[in-house]
Amino acid sequence: MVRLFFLPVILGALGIVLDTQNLQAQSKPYVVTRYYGGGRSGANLKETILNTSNVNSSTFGRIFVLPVDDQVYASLLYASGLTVGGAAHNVLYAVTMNNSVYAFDADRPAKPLWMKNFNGTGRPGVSTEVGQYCTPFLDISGNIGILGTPVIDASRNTMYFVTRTGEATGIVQRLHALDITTGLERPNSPVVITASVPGTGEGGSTITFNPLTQNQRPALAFAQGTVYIGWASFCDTTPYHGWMMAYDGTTLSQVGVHNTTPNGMMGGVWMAGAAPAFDASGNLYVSTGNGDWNGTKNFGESLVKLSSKTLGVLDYFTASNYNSLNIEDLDFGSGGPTMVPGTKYVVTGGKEGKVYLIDTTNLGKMVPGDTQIPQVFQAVSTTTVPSATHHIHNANPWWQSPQGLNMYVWGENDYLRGYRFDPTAKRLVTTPFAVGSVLPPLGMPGGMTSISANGSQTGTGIVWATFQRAGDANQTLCPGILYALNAETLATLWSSTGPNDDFYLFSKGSNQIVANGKVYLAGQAKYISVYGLKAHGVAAQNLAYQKPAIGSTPCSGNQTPDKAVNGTYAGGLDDKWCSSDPNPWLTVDLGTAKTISRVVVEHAGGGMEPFEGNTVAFKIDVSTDGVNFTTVQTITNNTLSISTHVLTPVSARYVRLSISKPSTIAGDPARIYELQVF
Amino acid sequence: MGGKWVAIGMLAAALLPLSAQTPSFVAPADVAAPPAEAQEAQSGVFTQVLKAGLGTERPEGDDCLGVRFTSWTREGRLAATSGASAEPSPQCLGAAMPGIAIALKLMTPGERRRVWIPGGLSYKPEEAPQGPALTVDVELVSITKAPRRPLNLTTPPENARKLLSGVTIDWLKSSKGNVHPAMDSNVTVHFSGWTAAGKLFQTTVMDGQPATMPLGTTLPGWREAIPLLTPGDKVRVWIPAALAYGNKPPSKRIPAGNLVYEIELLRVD
Repeated sequence: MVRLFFLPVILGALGIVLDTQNLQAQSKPYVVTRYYGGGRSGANLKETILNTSNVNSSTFGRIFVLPVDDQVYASLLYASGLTVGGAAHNVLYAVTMNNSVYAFDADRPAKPLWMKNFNGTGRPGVSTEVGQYCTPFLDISGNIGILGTPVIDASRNTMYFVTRTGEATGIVQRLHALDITTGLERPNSPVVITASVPGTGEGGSTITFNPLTQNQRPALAFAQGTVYIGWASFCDTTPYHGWMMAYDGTTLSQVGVHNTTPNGMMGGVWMAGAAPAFDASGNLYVSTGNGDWNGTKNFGESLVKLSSKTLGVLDYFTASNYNSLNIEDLDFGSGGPTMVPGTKYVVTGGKEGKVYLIDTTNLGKMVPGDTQIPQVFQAVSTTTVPSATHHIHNANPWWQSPQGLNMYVWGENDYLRGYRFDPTAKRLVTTPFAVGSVLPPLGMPGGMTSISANGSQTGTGIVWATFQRAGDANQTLCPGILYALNAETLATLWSSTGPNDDFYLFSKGSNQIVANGKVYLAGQAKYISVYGLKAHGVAAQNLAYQKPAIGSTPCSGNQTPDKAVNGTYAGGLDDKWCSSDPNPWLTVDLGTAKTISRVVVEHAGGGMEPFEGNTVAFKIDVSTDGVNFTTVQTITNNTLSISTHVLTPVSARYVRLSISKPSTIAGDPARIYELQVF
Repeated sequence: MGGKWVAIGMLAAALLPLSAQTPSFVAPADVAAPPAEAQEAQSGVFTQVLKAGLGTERPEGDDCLGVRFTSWTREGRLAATSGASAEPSPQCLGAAMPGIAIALKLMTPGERRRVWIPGGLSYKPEEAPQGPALTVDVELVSITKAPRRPLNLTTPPENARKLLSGVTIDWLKSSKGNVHPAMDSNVTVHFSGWTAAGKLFQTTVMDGQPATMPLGTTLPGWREAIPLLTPGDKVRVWIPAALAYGNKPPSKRIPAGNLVYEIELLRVD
């Protein structure tokens, strides 16, 4: 089964890059890599079902969820019509921070087709053992297992990913190759990741890969039989460097190693989870963050072009203010590169909110004022939140619209902006052709965007975007919101505010993907949410939805128990159950005894109230008769705005929250926006 | 970027095309130390006017500016530059290097100065407390005025409407309409927000781009106040911390404590 994941197209000596989004449009939807193709256009152009007419609150919404065992930081992947277990399925792949890999039937809420865990005799890494330069380290909380987005070699039905485990010898990172039809390891898999290069950056003559301090943050990439993996740091905690490694996809032998700062330090390849981009020759482009630079061995704050397989430095661009960027923690490489479809240009953006348009045939090295590259401009407005950050994270998607070739930028503390590429001037027009009207809450990371469209047809282009609906996702797990916007006008089409539309906690590392009329979105609350046209069926998985609920005396006649089981957080301050009772409790009657395995609770922060009002301590009790309750879980130190509680499956008709500490603030009432039972 | 650039700034930009087209990144001869004719502005920041500006309006408070600049270390190494682009670089005073903010407040549009900034006032202290001394050539191109800071941030007027929740609303402009938004409405607003201490933390006014959002996803205090408005109303709203971001928000980028917003409801869908 041959799929068009990456097919180099060389247009003579002009170095013209034909972005893989054009190739993808000729094949079945098959999302085998982050941002849909090696050019990282961020656009699925084969979407024939969803369009700007049917993505609205009447016809579109969440249709089911898929539970997983831990947080998901990586993007999801997808295969159409794959034979698994003797039957054809559209298959959705998810990886978790518990080092688990899931293959789900992408079209129905069911148990996984297969699921594998790769902790072995060890455990996943944990956030408390890294990031000592931040005290406490909160960029990630909990397990650190599979973090970077995997990649699939569709020609061999093989998925590649990197696990992180704590073992007797310390932290170990391994590259795995799995058969995506069975979940079984391919021959030669896994391999422990090791590397060393000559360098003086750590005081000796050799730099050795440190699996503890190196964060496998960017997405993996695959081309011409080779797997590419990158690393950065946890909160700039040294010693670390930017690393790129290449492995043969069949033998899993290491064929190339590049260290971005062998005679210095830092220069991480993180790109907010984006993937390296490929040009038509299979060369890679990666952006680096804060780090040393000398233009010979050290390439912090740069876009680096690396040779296929061997990872030699072919060319580079370094922002001429690299020293200032280093001082102010304004990583050039907070965003990943994307190839400008149909051209020889590559675009990347960083923490300054600037977009750099660079010629792939001559990256330009370092010239004062950056005058050697075709274009650099401020793509994120700094005036709406004038004293805050305006970073670009992830990567900027492209769409060849009926009106022209568009690039979409949703930086921090700003609106979504659409920029048009002028094919004559070969520059981006710096005045946006449209500006969205949705302004995300204060904080990081800006919109995580991608595009779906049916080729260039009008009325089919949709910008999908997620961000936090409250809080700052830099160092907090925040409730999230998904938006759909018209890619031609940036008008809002839909947002995830309807009943049972919530995807719970926002994942700052995971892009939504669109395939065959469905939107797949991973989150930090141990769920994959699947959105689509409601006419095709909506699974009634939340057993508590609109069921009878009772509770201790409400704060007011409007904040009654039924508000906690109406499926939504978005009905205002009265859309919650609130109780000032000294021993507040809330019970939902599921109607009949059901086997339940999960409870999701949306606390004050889930309703955009201050997070310090989240329920701290409570018990989950169950009963079959409403009189005799058994405690199945006791929570003593919750800080989350939305908490997911995995239970040993138990039969219950009644589910009760018994709250002993309703808030971090003495005297606060208990506030529950949603109590959902699965 | 959009924006309501002060007209005189645009005029100044039009009169000074050469500075935009021929940037020099070579350090000036006096990069290492201010000459005798340079004047100390304050805190060891010295400036020297290279070209006089136009008009009398100077940046202040939370204004956002269009600037062109090039900075060097005292040793003459290029530190940063707005580059060769004809477009000025955006720079809000609240986010500027402390030393450059001191100098910019002295300038009028069209003016160009050389600024000698001592270590510690070059980069933001929280990012680089030991930041190196820098010498900066800066040209002020334009000023976008920040919304005027209310004088009564901590004391709403007696006749303002006080809600049971603790939110207080003072109508600055009343449309006397009768269409009120519901929680599932999309509301389009212009707004500006200040902390009780007077820091402008967010505004749609300078960019000229109103924001649209489902009312049910907004700040709790907004969900109290906005349903009382009709399109065309403009209000000043005092929101207690418990209905804003709290007293201990999860990030230093989110304002703590009581907040004051000015909100103009433009449309309800």
